[in-house]
Amino acid sequence: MTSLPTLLGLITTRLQGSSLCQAVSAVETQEFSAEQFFCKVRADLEQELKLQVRVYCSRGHYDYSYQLFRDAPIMRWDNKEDCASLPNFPHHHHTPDGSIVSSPLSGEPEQDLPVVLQAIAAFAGPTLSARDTQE
Amino acid sequence: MTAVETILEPLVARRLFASAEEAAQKLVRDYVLRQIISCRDRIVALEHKYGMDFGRFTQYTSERTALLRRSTDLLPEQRQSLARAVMQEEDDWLDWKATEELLQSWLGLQTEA
Repeated sequence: MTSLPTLLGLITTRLQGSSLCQAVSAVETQEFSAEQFFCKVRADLEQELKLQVRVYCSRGHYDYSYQLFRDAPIMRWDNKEDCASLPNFPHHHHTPDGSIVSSPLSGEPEQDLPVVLQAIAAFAGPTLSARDTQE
Repeated sequence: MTAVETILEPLVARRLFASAEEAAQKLVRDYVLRQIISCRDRIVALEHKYGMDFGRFTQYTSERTALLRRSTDLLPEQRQSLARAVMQEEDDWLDWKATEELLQSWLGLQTEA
């Protein structure tokens, strides 16, 4: 099981290592025990985009969300158990055109963050996309 | 004198607490109570924002997601507007879920402290 400091370190390090992220900060943490905690991390990106990462761990179960936004949400990945018909349920992706589609995420931030950052780079534009892919 | 007693000594010396034991007990209870109040304040704010409790909100967000998925006949702007609202609601849902569960944990600890 991952502890709050380990998880927080992993998320911030991964975000800070991406050329997309200009600034990264832990906006909020709450911890009841080593097995129950919550964190919210926010990254400022180029083009006034922001990425917010939320992870809530409770006795081995993880709820997560990655949300890209400016003044309003643009796209999102999460595992709220709403779309049972989609492959890889409960992981799903809210696309910029308003669709909800299957998501390749697994709930493991170490594996998921690169996927999210690459999708954001593709959304933000070819220049950013090329830079992030080179990392 | 133990390390804990040394830390609490200034409070005991000023007769704010009768003993280090009483000080520790009351400070722990106060800490737990502040966590409970913080969780409750957040829950009240979310209940006020959406006009419902968490159980109903969970159902509501599921219905809104289902509505978005079957609303293929909406204009692109209408669909995007609904999609943005659903994303914001799901974000609040996760915040609310974590706060509800943390509140229960703190309440459980309150009975022990």
